[in-house]
Amino acid sequence: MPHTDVASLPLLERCAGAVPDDAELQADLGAAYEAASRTGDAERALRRALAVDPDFAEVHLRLATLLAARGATSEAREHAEAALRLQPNRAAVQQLMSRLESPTEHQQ
Amino acid sequence: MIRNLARLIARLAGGAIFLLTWGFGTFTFNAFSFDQFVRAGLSPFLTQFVRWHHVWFGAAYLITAATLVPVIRRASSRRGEAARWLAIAYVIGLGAVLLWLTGRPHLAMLTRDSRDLLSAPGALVPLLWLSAIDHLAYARSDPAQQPTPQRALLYATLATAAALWSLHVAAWWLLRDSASEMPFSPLASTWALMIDLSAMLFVYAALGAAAALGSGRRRPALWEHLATLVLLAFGVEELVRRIVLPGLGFAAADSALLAVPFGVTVAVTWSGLRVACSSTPRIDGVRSLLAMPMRPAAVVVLLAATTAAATIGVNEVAQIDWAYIGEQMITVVEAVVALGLILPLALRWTTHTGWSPAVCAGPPLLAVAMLYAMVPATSAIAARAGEGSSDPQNAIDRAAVLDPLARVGSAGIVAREPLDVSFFEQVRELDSASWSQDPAPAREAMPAQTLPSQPYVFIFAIDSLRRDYVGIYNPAVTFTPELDSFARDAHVFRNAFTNYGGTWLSVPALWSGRLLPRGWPKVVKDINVLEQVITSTNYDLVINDFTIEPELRKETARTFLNPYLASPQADLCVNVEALQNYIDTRKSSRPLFTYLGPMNVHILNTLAGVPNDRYPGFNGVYAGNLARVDTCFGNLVAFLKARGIYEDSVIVVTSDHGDMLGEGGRWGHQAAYMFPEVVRVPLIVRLPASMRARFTTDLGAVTFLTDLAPTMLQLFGLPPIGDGPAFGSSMYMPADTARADRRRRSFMVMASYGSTYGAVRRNGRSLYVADLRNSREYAYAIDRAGYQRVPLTDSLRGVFQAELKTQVSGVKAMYKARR
Repeated sequence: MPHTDVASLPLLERCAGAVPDDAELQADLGAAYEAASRTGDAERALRRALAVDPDFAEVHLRLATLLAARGATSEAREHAEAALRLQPNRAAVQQLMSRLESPTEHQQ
Repeated sequence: MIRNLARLIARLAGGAIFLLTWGFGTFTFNAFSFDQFVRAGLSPFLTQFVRWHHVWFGAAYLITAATLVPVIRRASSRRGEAARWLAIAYVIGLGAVLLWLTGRPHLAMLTRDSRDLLSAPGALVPLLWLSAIDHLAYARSDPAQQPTPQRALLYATLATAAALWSLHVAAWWLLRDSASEMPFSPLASTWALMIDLSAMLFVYAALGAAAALGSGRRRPALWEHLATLVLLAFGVEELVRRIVLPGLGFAAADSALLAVPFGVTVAVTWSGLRVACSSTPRIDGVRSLLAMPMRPAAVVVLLAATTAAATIGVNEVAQIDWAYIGEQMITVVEAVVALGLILPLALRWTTHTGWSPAVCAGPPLLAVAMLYAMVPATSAIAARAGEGSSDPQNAIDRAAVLDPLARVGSAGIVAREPLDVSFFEQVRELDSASWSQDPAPAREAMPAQTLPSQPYVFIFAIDSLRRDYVGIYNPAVTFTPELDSFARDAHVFRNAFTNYGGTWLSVPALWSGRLLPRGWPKVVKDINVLEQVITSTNYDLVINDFTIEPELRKETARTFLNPYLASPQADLCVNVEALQNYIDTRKSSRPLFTYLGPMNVHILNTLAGVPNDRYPGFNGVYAGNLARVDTCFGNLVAFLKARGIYEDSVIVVTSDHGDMLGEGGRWGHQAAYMFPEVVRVPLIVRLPASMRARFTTDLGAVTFLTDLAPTMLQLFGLPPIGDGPAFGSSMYMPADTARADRRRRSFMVMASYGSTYGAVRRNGRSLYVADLRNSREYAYAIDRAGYQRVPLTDSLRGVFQAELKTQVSGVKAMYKARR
């Protein structure tokens, strides 16, 4: 996923509003929201990206990370599993999976 | 009568040989057609013709000289005397050429040099010579003969349009494949009729103008004849210059240089034949050049026979990649013959012989008005007929399916979305130039390598295998259980595309890991990545392929499986049997690198099969052929497991491109076809456990066949090739990294043979295609469920074209064009 920052947020919001079926744009918007600590908006943008392209592994991973952070472990696991199906053996996804498998460690 | 018929047959036979000689000289003149047809020996007939050309030429000489005997023996006038001396000169001159050719077969020695330039027009000289003799010896011009009546021309062209439209629609109805083709559409058939009428009315306007030219002059029929000859020459020249030669990769200037003398020769030869082989050798314009007088009943029978022959001809040429050239030529000839049959009836039944500008210009203008009126009328007709789509473009596309004449007519007279010609001119350079990478190849030869572990490699590039005919991609498929079982144990790339719509470019691009120009045989030896992997790592290459194998270096050792089977007979089952035998009997312990490109589901074999309904919702022949492939693939997997090879192998199943199986009336992967069915391919990869543990991938990311060679480099730990826009990139990467993001990039796709280019964007969800030959543009939205055509906006076009420009610049920067 490309680097996105808070400064690019207004522009990304405008673009994503104009082209709502662009999964990559929604993913970038989600990343920008995340950078601005607007996790609720980030989650919605990432879900919109997946609605357009359910095979977007990076978005699955990012969404799983967000969900895990707010304690939605079950749904986080679903997205992590989806990411792992699309990116088999990817270390970052496997690390997230193992964190989700051991909630105590995750909470620490 | 019999003597005239014999003379006609002899002249047509001799003329065909001279024209074939012209055709061969023309093919060798151009890099693409030379590589594709001549050097590759694609046509056994052409190869034999060249080998025995001096014999063919001798036959043409003898039979045409025999037709001159009456001219030499009898000269009753000054013109007859001139004809006699010309005929004697022909016999002596061509006899000398024959002697020279017998001692030094010229055609077989042509290898793309300056001699080609002389060979093509040189082959037309005998025809022009014979035409001059015929006109001098036989032509009679009656000063009192009036021009062809204008209204007879009008009625004949209208009747021709109506007859061809009804016969074409009837033929489509009788021959359609109800399982895969579109239902009958009143809207499309109305459009077809309108286009047919308009096209024929433009023919009327041109012929009427020729007739009008003679009106009021001292020899009106002679003037009409000369004007019609100019029209005929222009028509032939346009057909060759605009359709035939560009489709074979000729540049605009070369096309004109070759087409103009060809058009003139065909026109004057036809005129000479008509007067030399007629009982009334009059020079009277359209009537003597086109009309074929006969009884009305015979006209009806011959019209039906002509349409039947044209329909068969179009279906036959549909098997070849340049079908559109054959289709258009057949359709034009069919229309000319139909007009020639109907015109005498119109002449017989028309009493009015006057001429007026209004009757000349009125009908074509009315036709233009009708076409404009059809655009708003389309919605009303669609609503009344209960048709879903009221888009005129879609209706015209469907009209073209119903009626070949509408297909040809719509290309010329229906306004299209304007293409940015200046933009595509630079894209088109990829078609016509020959290329090199000199002075230095982009990549040095790969040094010999010793890999810590070297798996077996099996690549199955199943020619024309469609993604949606494989069960793992389409749950409705029931005939690929073995491929599906294999895929469940492998990585299934969901978003794979071919870069090229034909084997000619997609296979070398797969081997080279990068985009290629059409003149790729000039450069491929320096950049063939898979070949370098094979030789530098000491693989034992086993191959069955007819595209890349001839271009491998001589020193690359390989075993060619089933060498005695011609390309269309390349059968996976026969290959698998030979491969198993090879594995069991070989003495070498070197690992195998196997590349097979079976043709079981190629359009040649699909159209050759007997249509059946054994696989509802699918093309029965294709599905049946694929079921055979599936079984034999399963046998090989079982064999590899039994020999302990399977687990330690890299196995790739893909195709070089897809195919049209009747969608929109289209078949195969012709020159201009870059539709989603053609550009989307299956891609299934199984790695050994050791590699699966080290690498990851992204199965949802857009992937191209050019990624396969860089993937092999990555898997084997070899240095990567370039990373510019023209290069592929590895599908696998170390497990602790992410694949380079390609979702935001655009990728060029292009037809292998015709001027059709496209771009894939948004991770394969958006496809833009520009068909320059037909001046058509298409945009598609693609998703898991399939695809749909979407409106092409200016901004979308702008984005796609900008991306395409970057890709073209990348290819050009990598190679050096050489005219």
